[in-house]
Amino acid sequence: MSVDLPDLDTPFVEIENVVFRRDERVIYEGLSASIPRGRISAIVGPSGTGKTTLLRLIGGQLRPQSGDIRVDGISVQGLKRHALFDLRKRMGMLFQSGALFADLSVFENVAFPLRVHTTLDEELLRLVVLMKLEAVGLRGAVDLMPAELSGGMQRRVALARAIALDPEMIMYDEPFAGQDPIGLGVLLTLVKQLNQALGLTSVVVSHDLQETLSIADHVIMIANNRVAFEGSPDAMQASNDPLVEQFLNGRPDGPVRFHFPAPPLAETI
Amino acid sequence: MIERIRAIGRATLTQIGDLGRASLLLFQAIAGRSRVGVHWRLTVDQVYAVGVLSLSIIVVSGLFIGMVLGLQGYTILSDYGSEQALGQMVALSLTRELGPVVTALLFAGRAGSALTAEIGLMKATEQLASLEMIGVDPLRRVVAPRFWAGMISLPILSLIFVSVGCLGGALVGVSWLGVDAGSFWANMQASVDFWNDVFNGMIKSVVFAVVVTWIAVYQGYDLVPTSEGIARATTRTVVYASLAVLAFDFFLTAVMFGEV
Repeated sequence: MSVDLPDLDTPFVEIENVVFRRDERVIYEGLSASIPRGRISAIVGPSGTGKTTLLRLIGGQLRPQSGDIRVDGISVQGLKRHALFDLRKRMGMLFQSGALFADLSVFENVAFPLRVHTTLDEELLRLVVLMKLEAVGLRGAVDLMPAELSGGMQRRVALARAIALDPEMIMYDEPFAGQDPIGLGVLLTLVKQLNQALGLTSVVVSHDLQETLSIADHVIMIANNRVAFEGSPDAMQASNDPLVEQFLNGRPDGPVRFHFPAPPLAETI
Repeated sequence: MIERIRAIGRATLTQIGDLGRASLLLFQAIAGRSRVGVHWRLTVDQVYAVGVLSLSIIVVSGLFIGMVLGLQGYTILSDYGSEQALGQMVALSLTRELGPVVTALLFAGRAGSALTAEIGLMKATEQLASLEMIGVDPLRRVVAPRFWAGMISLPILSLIFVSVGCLGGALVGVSWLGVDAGSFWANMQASVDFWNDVFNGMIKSVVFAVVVTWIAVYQGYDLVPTSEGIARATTRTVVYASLAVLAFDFFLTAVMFGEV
C-alpha cells in the first residue's frame, strides 16, 4: 500500500539545544532533533538515557532548563497553563502502563476526552467510541472494567482513548514492553495502520529495537546526554559509529561501558 | 559544625519549598473558573467517599466518648453533689473541644489516609499524567473535588459526633446512673450558647477540615510514585494532620476562650 506522505522537510516537532537536569543529574546537554510530520519516528537508546523524559518535554509535562521545543511551530515551554492544555488536545500519548482510569469502564475511558472537550450528544459519542474501539479490535470489551482486561488489551484501550480526539501526533511510551509475540505483533500493526490511515505523526520510544526499526521511518538514538544518531533505519544499520554499532549488536562493552565507574579492582579488595 | 549548619539550612529550605508547593497546589486547584456542573457531581461523589463512608466510625466513636464523659463526669460531679450539671459538662466538652478535635483526628486516619493513597496510586499508575496529556488539569479534576468534599464533610461529621456524644452521655447519666432527665437536658440547654460554643466549635471544625484535607491531597500529589513512597506519604498524612490539628486547636482555643 502506498500513501502520500507529507514532506519530511517540515518537522512536526523541533527540539533545539535542550539542556535538562534533574536535581544534580544531567539528562540532556544540548540535545537537538526533529520529528518529521506524518511519519513514524523511533526514539531508541540505552536504558536511563531519558527517552521517556523527551516525550514528557514535548508534552510540556517537564520544562527544560534551556533550549527550545516547538510543536507545529509553537514553543511549548513558553506556554501558559491553559494554552498548554489546548496544545495537548492535538497530541495523544500512550503510557507504558496504559494508565486507564481504574474507576471507569472501557467505554467511559475512551469517551472521557470526548466528554471533556466536545459537546457531542450521547448517541454520536457512543458511535465515535465504538469506532475507536473497533479500530483497536476491542469493540466487544466495551462494557468491561480495566481490571478485567489483560495488559495488552489495556494498552489497546488506552490507544483508542489516545486517538479519541483525532490528534495530529501520538507518542508511544514503550508500547511493546512485556508483550507476548502475538500482542507485540498486534500493537506493531496498529501503530503502523494508525500512522498510515490517519496520517498521524507517531513517536515510538522502545527497547524492542528490531521491531521498532521495522516500522520506523526515522530514528533518533539518544546516548551520553545527546543525540548519538539521527536518520533513517537503513542509515543506522549502515553506520560505522562505534556507539551505534554497539547498541545495534547488543555488545556489553564499547562506548557505553558495562562496568559502572569504579577504582581499579586491586585497590578495592 | 559547618556541616550541621548546612543540614539545618537544607532542612529549612526543603520545608519552605514544601509549603510553597502546597500553597501553589491549593491555589491552582480551587482558584479561577471551573466547570461547575461536572465538578459538582465529582464533589458529591467524593462527599460520599470521604464523608458518608466515615459515618460509622464517627457515630460509634461519638457514642463511646459521650458515654465515657457521662461516666467520668458523674463520678466527679457526684462528689460535689452536683450531678445534675452532667448535661452541661458533657455538652460543653463535646461542642468546644472533643467534637471538632476527635472528629478531625478520626477523619485524618479514615479519610485523609485514603485520599493520599488514592491520589498517590493515580500518580504511580500514570493516571494523573494521562489526564494532563488529555488536556485535563488533574488539580481541578482530582484534587479540587476531594478538597471541597473534605471541607463539606468534616464540619457535618463533627456535628453528628457531638449529637451522638450527647445521646451517649444521656444514656449513661440518665438511663444508667439515674441523673434526673429534666435537669440533665435543661442544664444543657441553659448553659450551651449557640455563638460561643456551637459556632466556635464549627469554626474549629472548618479550620481542621482545611488543614487535614490540604495535607492529605498535597501528600498524595507530591509523593514519590513507588509503593514505598505511597506508604510513607500515607503515614505522613496521618502524623502531620494529627499534629497540625492539635496545634491549631490550642491556638484557636486560646483565641476563642482564652479571656475566660
